[in-house]
Amino acid sequence: MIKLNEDILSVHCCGIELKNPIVIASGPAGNGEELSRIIDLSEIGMFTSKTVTLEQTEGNPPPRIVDVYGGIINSIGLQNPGFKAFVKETIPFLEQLKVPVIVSLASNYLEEMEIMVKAMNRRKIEMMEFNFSCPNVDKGKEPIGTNPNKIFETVRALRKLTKKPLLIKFAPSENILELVNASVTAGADGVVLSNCPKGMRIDIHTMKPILKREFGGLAGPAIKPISLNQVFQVRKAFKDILIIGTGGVINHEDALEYIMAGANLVGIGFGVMLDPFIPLQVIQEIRQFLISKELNYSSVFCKAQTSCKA
Amino acid sequence: MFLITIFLRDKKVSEDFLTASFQFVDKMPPQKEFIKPGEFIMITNRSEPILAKPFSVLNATPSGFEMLIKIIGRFTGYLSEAVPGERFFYRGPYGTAFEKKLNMSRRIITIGGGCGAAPILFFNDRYPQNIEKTFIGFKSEAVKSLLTIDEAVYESQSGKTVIDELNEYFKTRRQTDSPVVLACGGIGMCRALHEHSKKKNYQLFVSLDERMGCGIGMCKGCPIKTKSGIKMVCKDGPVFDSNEIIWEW
Repeated sequence: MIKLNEDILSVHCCGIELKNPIVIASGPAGNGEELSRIIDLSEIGMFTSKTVTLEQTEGNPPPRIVDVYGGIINSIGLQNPGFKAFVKETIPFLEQLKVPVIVSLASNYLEEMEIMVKAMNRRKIEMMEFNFSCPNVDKGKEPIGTNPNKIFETVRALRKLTKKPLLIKFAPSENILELVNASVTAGADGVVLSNCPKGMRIDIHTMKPILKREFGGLAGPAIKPISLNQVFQVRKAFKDILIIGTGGVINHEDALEYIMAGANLVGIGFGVMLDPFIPLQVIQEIRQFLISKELNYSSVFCKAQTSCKA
Repeated sequence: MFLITIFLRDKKVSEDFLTASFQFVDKMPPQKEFIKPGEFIMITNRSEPILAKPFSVLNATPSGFEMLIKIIGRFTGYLSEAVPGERFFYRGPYGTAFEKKLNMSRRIITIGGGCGAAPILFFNDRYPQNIEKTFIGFKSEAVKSLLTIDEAVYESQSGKTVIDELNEYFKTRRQTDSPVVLACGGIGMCRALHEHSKKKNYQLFVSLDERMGCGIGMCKGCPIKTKSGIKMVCKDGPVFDSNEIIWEW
């Protein structure tokens, strides 16, 4: 019989011991100021900041959110105060949280990424996520995250600047294995799968797209089967990299599916908007599931794969 | 618990409007104010993954509250078909109460458009001494079978909008001080009132309705562009001085 304790959920990755595999994904929870007033963030495995860019980003005009079956389409557009303000105002807050932190960074320019990565070396943050796949910025411009050569060059250059674990966040893609290979070969420690794929809605009365930028990022349970398959395929090909599986997790069953597919950690984004208590509920429910089956994290991790080591 | 259980006590539907009254499981302590006019709550039924929706209330008592809702989407459609006794959940209240943004030593002209009438009527009820005049506008008369609103103007009946009514009132207004107007309604009405306030030289506060995500400012889903940067309707509003808003975005 497994005892009721924290250990059955603890996860060790990239040299960091996490209480449990649940990560607050980048975006919907902002930088945790509001969420930390509602839930105890020290109960979460890891917290990811809202993606920050070097310069201040205004974000997209409203509406930024529309409902769809199984989730939303969002068009936030990486609204953030810019890296300087982030370092001054947000990093001190993140550093005092009693939870390991991933800082999410984005830019289409290597020089900008270099400035931000170097600055993070001096701060008490555990990992960095490169968001090369936000669907809501730089209209008409190809994000770094769809070009394997560009990814390789960018990650290789940034890898030289830091010893902190580097994660690359991708949207679902037919050539995901190629993209992940480029990242890992260049020195990334892992990947976050998946960012929001593009989606849209049309108002049948005005006969126009509802979102001003026409499309946005589809988030919520609607994308879970797609993202789950991305995790499964990537884990099949890359046995040892860190994978954070995210997309549509709103209960413990969703989270366990990601873990069984091969995700070391599971991100919750949309779920926090749905109900800020969902991350804590998911942790509690995973624990109950494992106890009822006399299992622990290691005995379910990757178990949907036929050849995968825990 | 974060989500608070409520039960649908009664509801009435008329075309695209509905009134719904909810009751708390436990009565609020008499001294505890559940919600102030201008604040809103996020309501969900948790039966499918739809984000909780923001609503202001029409009135509140220690045992429950009443809302006036326009049926415009999946959740409000669901509410229109819900049966008494059905369980819902809310979290909140969120947002800034009108009384915190307005100079409450003054008398105020209040204007509500459509379901924006709810927080205005709630404000009138709580602060009758502050009300100079009220105009409540509806496009159709559908809401008549749900509520009796003395101040209501039905555009389909009179051909007049609340701005027409306000213009007529200004012709006869005896006060010498510059008017202060508080308005809640659709973005079209608020924008038109902003233009009107410039011409007629009065101070206008607008309570905005925007598609929201989290309701507490973290997701950045309900922006409004202001002279001091991008603000969130849920956290920094929903009421703003209309002069602070950059209306073209």
